[in-house]
Amino acid sequence: MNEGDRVGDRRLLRRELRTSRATPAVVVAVVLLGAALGTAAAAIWTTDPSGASLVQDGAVAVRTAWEEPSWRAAAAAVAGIAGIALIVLAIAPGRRRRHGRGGARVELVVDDGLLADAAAQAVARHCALAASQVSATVTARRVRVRIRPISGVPVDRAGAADAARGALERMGFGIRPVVTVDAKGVVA
Amino acid sequence: MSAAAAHVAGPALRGRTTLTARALHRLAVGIVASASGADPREIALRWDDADGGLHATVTLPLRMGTAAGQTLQEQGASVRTSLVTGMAERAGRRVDGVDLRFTGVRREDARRVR
Repeated sequence: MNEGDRVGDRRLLRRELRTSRATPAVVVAVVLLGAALGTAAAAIWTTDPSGASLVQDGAVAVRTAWEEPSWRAAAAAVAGIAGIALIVLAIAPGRRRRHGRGGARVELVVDDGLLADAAAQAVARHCALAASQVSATVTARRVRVRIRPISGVPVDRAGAADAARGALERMGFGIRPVVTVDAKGVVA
Repeated sequence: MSAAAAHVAGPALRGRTTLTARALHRLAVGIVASASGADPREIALRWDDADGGLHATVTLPLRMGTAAGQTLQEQGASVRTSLVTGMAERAGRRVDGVDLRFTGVRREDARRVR
């Protein structure tokens, strides 16, 4: 395996873990292209006398609308929302709900739901609880484990955290567990 | 009747022991009946969750004649402690509170032959 393959693998992993920005990029390109074509068409029309009046009417309509404060505010709001959305799309990491890790030979991509299930199962087994009493959610760097205890049976919180950490480390993901125990338990 | 809740799963054997709410209820009624001497059919008991602990609300008839020389408070305290220790020993549950309510009096000498 040479260096190029390794870089290619890392790119592949990144592709699997991040959302594609192709769709918003295509949308922006199409809109800009449409605006450019529209401007060109309007410029060509103005040379034709019959078209000039039409374009002029259009310009007048736009100007009167612009005089109206509500229209102006609406236009500003739309532009602002579109701008903010585009900036967020450009800057945000666009994480997919997956975790990946590189390895010596293969790259591994695992859905967050599967990791959460593994952690919840390990905790349920450690605490001798029903699987329905343990729920887990996996975020970028931590797994939140929520335990609904049995009334009158103390929950070993540190042991539960260790169980979750161990289950995830066996799969090669060092995600920090955060264990919360519900204040209210179930009688049985 | 030994239903021990497995707190820590053993490393060798997997599996868990489940105590249903009904089992807990019957167990507690039995403990209260043997501690107070009241008829199990006359004992009403409800388990609630109190911040992760168990809380029992028990209604039972007062039995006169069995515990001579004990005040009602002492009788109540003995029922309470026997329920708490019994649940801890048999079911492995920590009981955080027991509310007792004596309703009526059953006289020992006035029992009818059924």
